[in-house]
Amino acid sequence: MKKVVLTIFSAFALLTSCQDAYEIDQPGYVTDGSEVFTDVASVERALSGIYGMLNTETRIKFETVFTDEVGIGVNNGGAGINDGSYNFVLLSTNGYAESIWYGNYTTINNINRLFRVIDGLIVKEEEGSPNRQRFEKAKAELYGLRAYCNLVLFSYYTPDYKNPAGLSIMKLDYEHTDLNVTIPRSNVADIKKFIEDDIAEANKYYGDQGYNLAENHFITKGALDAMLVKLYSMTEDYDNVIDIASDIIDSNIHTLATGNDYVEMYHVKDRFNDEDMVWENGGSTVQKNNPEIIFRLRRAVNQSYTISDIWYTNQIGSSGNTSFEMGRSLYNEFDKLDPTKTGQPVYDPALKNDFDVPYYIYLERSDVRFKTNLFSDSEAKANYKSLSQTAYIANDKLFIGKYRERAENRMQADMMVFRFSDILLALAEARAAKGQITGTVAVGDYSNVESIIYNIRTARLNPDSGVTEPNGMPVITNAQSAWKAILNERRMEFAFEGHRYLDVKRIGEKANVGFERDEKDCERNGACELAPRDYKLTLPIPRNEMLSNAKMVQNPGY
Amino acid sequence: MRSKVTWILTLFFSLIVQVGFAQQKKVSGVVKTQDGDPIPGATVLLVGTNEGTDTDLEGTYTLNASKGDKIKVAYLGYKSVTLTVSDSNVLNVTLQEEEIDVLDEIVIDQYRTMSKQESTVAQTTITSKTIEGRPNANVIQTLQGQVPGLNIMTGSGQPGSDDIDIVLRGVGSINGSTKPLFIVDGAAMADDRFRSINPNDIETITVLKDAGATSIYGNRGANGVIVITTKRGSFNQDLSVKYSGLTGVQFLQENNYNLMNSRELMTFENKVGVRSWTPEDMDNAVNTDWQNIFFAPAIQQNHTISFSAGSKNLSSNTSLGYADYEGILKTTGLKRFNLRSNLNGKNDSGRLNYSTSLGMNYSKNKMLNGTGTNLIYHNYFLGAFRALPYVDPNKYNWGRDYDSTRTAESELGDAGVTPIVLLNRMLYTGYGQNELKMNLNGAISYKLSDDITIGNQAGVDYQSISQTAWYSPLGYSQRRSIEGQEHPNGDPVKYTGSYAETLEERFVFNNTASLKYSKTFSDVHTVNVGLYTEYIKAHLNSTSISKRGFDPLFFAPGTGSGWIADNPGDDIYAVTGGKNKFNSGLFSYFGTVGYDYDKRFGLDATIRRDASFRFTKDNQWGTFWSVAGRWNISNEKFMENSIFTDLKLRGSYGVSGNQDITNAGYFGGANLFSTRYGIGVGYLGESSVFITQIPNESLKWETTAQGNVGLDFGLFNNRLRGTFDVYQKNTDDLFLARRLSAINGQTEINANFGSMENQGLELMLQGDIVRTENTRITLSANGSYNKNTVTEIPEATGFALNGDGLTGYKVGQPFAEFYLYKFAGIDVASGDALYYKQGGGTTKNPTDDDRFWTGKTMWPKYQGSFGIDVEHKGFFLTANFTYAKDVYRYDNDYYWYTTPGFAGVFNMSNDINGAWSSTNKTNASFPKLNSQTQALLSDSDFYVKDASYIRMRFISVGYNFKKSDLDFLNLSGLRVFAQGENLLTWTKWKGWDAESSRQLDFGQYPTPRSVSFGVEVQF
Repeated sequence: MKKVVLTIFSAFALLTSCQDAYEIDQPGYVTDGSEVFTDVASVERALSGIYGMLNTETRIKFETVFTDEVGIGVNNGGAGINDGSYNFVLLSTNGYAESIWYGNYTTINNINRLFRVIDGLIVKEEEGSPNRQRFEKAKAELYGLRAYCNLVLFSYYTPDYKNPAGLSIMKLDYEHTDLNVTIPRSNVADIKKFIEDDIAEANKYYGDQGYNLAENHFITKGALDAMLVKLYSMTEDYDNVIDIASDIIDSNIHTLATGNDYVEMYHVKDRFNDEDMVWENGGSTVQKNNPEIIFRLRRAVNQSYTISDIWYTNQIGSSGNTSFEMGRSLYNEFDKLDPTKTGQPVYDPALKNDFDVPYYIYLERSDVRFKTNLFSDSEAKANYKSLSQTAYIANDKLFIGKYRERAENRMQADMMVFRFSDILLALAEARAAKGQITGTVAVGDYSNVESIIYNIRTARLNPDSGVTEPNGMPVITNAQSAWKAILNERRMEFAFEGHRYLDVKRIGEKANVGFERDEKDCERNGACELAPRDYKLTLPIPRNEMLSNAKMVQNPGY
Repeated sequence: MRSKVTWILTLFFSLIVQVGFAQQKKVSGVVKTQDGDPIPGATVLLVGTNEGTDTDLEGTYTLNASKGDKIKVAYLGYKSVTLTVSDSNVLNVTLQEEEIDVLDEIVIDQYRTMSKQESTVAQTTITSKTIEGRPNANVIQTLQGQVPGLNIMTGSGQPGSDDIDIVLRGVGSINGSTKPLFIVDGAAMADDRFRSINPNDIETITVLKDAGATSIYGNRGANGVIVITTKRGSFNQDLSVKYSGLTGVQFLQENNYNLMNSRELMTFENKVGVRSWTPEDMDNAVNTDWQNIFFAPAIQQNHTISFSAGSKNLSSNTSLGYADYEGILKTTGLKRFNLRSNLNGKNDSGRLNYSTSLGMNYSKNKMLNGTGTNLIYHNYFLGAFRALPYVDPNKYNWGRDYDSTRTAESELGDAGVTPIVLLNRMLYTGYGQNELKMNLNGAISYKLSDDITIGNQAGVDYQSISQTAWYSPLGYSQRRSIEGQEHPNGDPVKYTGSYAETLEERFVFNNTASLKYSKTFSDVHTVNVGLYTEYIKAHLNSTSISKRGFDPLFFAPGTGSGWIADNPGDDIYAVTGGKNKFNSGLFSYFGTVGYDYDKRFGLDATIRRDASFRFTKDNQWGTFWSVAGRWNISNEKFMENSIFTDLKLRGSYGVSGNQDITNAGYFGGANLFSTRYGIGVGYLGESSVFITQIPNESLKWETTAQGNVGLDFGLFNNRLRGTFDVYQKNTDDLFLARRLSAINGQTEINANFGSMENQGLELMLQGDIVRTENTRITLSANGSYNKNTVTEIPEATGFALNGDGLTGYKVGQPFAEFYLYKFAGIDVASGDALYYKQGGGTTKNPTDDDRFWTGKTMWPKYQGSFGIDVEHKGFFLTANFTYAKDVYRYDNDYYWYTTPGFAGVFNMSNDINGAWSSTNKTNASFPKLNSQTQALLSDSDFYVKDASYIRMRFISVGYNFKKSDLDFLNLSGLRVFAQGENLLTWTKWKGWDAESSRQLDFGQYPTPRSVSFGVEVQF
């Protein structure tokens, strides 16, 4: 008996002395970078991930509610009001402020890691070999992407673009792995140089390739030039703006999209089969070769980015449960684009529920931007000002229709990052700064502010309206009115594209224009205006950064 | 005829016997207590006969007896005495009070068993008497108020929910697990989910508190240990069969939110300007009580039958149980079937002992999957508590069909239609988990000699959970979701409905081998030594599928029938799936030494080396130890005639660890020490590769050092008894979210830094106010005080924030303290809220610097319970009250009821009518309705409310039938009782339940109150 028992126990003892209890590899865990990055294909795969990290959706979602782009929607259940985002409440705990900051630095962190991987792998490839070239292209794209991230950060978190010694963002130009190291904010001049240098590095590859329409969803020479234009218009290096803008214009590859081409950038009818969206009724042009587009972010079904869910909860349009609508003050600007119809109600009850009728029949105005931004079943009341608050919310329905696709409940669309009109209007800013506000007004003449606006409005004419000449042009008499005209044109041209906040920050003071909501849109919360000098036009450094980085300095006001 | 003869003969012989042998005389006397008080009603029996009598009010008796006869005197609560009749006719008797059970209790941990007297540790044992018959599906809820220092906070009324926070002696970890380790019949449980275990099977629950008791659990002992044993049979015991049944009904508790009725709400909506109701609208409006529509009294029943028997070498206890607990929210519930079979066996010499424990439990849980979210089409509690009262469900056919729900949506808008869609959802959707849980344990021990025993125990905790979530294609949201959707070829999408299933298996194997030595030298020196190894390996395997597209004609809830095959052209109906596998393990070796001197002094020491799979090689092993000692003062000579029956001083100090640093049970937090890469969606939807984890190479255990001094005492023959403990716990290397600068690519990383201490007192008292034959009244109370202080946060700021935006940790302040703006009242002039500024003054626009450490947390400083037990001639009454004080929670429901932005969408509280207005400037209780800075209010302490409470946790009244009354039924025991849980609560908290496991609740399942009736029959 004793023997039996002892045998059993020693068997157990053997069983339990194994190290397999605490030295465990989880199935499928890869913890060594050298297993992941082995060749050029794996680097390109990681590069695809970095492109996928870029988004403008976050910025748009922040800006559209915080600025004067939207008003309270018919189904608003407290969105924007309860959290203060529609009330100009902006704190360092703001989720968007944190998301823009952390999101871009995360991308930069990843880019820097990939630089190191490439530097390790590229040495094995012969100079000039196909693999070597692929590595070099990847590297150029990474420089371009890093410049882009820094440009975004620079634009939101720098209090004063024009002061070279003023505080800007953190310069992260190395592979950062030591959690205990923090870095302080660099000054404006350093960051400007950092961005310029990255673009110059990228241009070593792209410089002689010229502009490229077919690749407009990747970094190209056009994207690099556009970044410089955006940078220099912030820092007011207007000569540089004129130089680069002229390069782009003179190349004649990027031009203004006309009529339906403009609409197509945002209205997508079919996304199931198509890798690149096609506009069914409008013609044969695909976004791919749309001359207006300099850089866009393409969105695929399985990417999680959404845009329209900031305005709607279910789907786009009247049945989408609307949290926010187009702000009345913005609508009024669109309304003025066709003076013959200004003030007229929008709504055809007979057609309202007929989804087969193309929406533009009853939204027909002379400028395509009207129907691009307004959804078909909107109802604009001519007498809205005299309505009670309740009746105004319930009846004056201005549904945002900018990003539309067939599966309207998916709320996803390609994001336009840089467009040709952005370059033109940056040029207009340079012209305004140089006093070139009026002069010859003609198609193809970009020598003064008025003509640039004329060119844009001519391009945006609605071919179905029969109108061939833009009317209702802004009256430009002095510098301020020129700046104001530029700002207003940008407001319409880039509505819901994440520009308004930065535009007012950059030139609002010159135009003496801040955020201006219609009085009907601020009756419920008392937040009607934000002045162009307000400290809230620079985002706060996120609280998390302030707490974790002893070298960090908060922006004024927060 | 025959029986008549027998009777006559018996009588005849008995007469002869009496005549032949008895020299009878009258014997009388007085029965007294040792204090000299007469005992009325004591039984005096002539041994060997049926003759006997009771004492009268003066305690006297008279009996016919002969010299040499033996008489036995018995009285409940006293030791029986047998005396021999002598020549004297007077025989006075003094009865000694029986020693109370307390002294005979044993203390069991997984490895050691000792009498309570010999125990050196701080612990509390709860027996089946307390557990049986309570209507809680989860036995943990029954523990509330029973153990000083053990804080149990239930956060859900879902029957069997494990949404229960169990904290012993204050929170010991920030991100790691704070729950004690659970050991069932010697095997560690895979998690703390108790829904499948039948409380009636439990014999004892021992809560081990100080380091002397918990260090032996090494890396898992830091939060205390709860040891559960199930019922076993005894050797040489006839079959005993016992049935216990319980049936009851549960109700929703009340709230104090002062909610609006239809007229009030309509008036308010007009005022805010979100609707314009006419007086006629108001007159005609219905007043729907949505709570009564979504909730209903819930029936519950629980039946257990158990068989216990033993022969010379084998004993068994088998029980079968069935329980059905409906939830108070319609459609929810738990059904459970249990089988437990425990066997003990030995050989004739008693040297070889073995035992097996087998528990098989199957439960079917109908649950909810939108709880706690703000998904208005998913979370029933939003419908029940927030829906607009003027919406008339009759008008929309109670959401029973698509068309009327659609009408409701177009008429009411998205928010107004919420309750109608939810009613529809109740009909067309389901979510549930079926769980099979098996605990299998076997133990064997063999005495190599009288002193040395070797043993081994092996066990498996196996759990298989099948979770299904389905949505009928007829359901409203489903049909609505395909409206206007097209296949690429332009055809409308026809089929919808969804089905998802996840199958998860958890398997935990543990094995403990032991060698024990025990010997007493010179009668007074007893030495115990134990050596052990423990091996634990756990595996998790899960598989999931989900699929959309079912034909309504063939669809059957929860089955997957009506499956529409995928069309490769668009993959709209494609099945998606997932698969996961995780492994984990622990290995330890450890030893114990115990020494006892003459039952007067004792010393115990443990040491344990542990390895966990969670850490890198350098930090893999941890050493944990403890020493504990006692002095049984009452066993000293000088105490012989004192009032103390029992007096013991004990003390312990030791270190234990917490390796569950991510609070994810066995499997989470693996490989946190290494960089990780993973697959994700890249640009253009391509598969890409990302760095998914930056490493924390210095990851290690959280360690807790705890000192404890305690006193166990019993006075006046243990009529007054109790324990008193003082402790200090210091936890180091707290696993805490360390904020990171953006350049690291993420916002935070969890790392071991920071320290925290808990100091506290615990007192438990029980006193028998009355203790006579027919009546016993016992009062009991326990209370604890725990002070939690963060002692180190190695950040330059001296504090760290929680991710929730509400709380943080600051050196010198309590754990998870609310860190918010401080509400300073309403500005009389503008109607905006004012907040205190750091450094004085108030402002409408506070910045980050104006946040204050409020000193308020959700963890009570004081908590405990008190109660009374009354027994009188078979009647009994037990009442237990629990309390918690100095506890604060964020009243998120109140925030929703008083935030004007929700007007027109949800119901409101009448309190909001106290908002600032031109006519109510000085007494305003809320900012003006259109205040631009309204949003800041929710970031302030305005909604942090006192959640202290006193509650009648349960009350039970019943009757224990006398055995003699049951003879005609052939029963050996019968007990009937009625009881209530949570019937009365006194609190300032406005919500349904002051108690919750969360500091902020949103649309959660409130805990119910209940009334139930039970019966226990013993055959």
